[in-house]
Amino acid sequence: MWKWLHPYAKTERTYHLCQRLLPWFSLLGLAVIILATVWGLAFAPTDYQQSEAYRIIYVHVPSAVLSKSLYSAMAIAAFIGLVWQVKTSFMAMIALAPIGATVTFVSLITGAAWGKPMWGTWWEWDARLTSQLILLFLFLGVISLYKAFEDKQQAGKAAGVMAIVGVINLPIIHYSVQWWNTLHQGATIMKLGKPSMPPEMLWPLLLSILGWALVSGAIFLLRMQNEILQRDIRRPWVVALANKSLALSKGK
Amino acid sequence: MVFDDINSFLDMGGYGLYVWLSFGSSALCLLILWLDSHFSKRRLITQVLHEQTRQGRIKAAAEQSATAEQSATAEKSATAQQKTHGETI
Repeated sequence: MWKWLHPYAKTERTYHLCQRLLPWFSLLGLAVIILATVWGLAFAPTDYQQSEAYRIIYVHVPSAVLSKSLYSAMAIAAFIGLVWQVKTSFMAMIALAPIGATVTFVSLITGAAWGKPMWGTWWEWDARLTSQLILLFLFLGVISLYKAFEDKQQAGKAAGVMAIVGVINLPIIHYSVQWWNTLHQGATIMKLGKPSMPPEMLWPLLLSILGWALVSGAIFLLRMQNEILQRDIRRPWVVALANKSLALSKGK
Repeated sequence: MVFDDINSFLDMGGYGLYVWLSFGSSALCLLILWLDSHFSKRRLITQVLHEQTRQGRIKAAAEQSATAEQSATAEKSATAQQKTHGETI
């Protein structure tokens, strides 16, 4: 496996791998997210308790699930970077951080917009909401710590340690609805046994999670490429690549 | 479709504001992130091209000044030789 993985520690190989994967993730992600959103908004049945307001679930749950997955991915990248000194790993970490921050922000906004009609308040200092807000601050912390260092290898190490320490927040978010009395409802799909949701509602939800994941993947590939370009800006292969793209745009 | 017409779809059973606020802000955030990532890639590539032309200019200027210096020293030595010639004659 190491022999297979090793070439991707080289930035040029990784850049071209990202380039190959990018159209698949973008097109598939866009298609799935549109399908799931239209299905969730217009075709999924009305909830007997929350009527149409429950449709917020089709953006709230994917963004919340993705916020935790992206944080885990970022922490794993940080760990690999710290232990094996792989420099592309830190680039992956910092490419993931803004995406994670954005989806965490979206989960908080959509949560507020759902909380207002259902609980009567936009915000409550409740365990689930507060721990999710801390997750947003952790993402922002990793980004700003990385930016604070001129030497990017040093920056990767510092931000990486922060990302790994912040992992403690993930189980807190997940179990907050069980450990504390909270306004937030319990888990619907991520629990043992059968999900407490009819399949006509569950399918668009699962699809929208997939769509959000693919779109996040596409944005990650783009940002990963940007990190590589930034780091290798004086390398001959980057100059050759820029000239090729210039020739292509002139040819059009 | 569970809605009868476009108005009831937009109204979302009275929760229109909250539902559309959620979907709108999600779409906006993802769109901004995507556009930012896309345009910074473009910006980086133009930056590489600018740097390349700058390096080219620096190299050309260095070569020009080197040849200018060479010809200047050649001229100087030539006039010096003439002078000494003049003196000896």
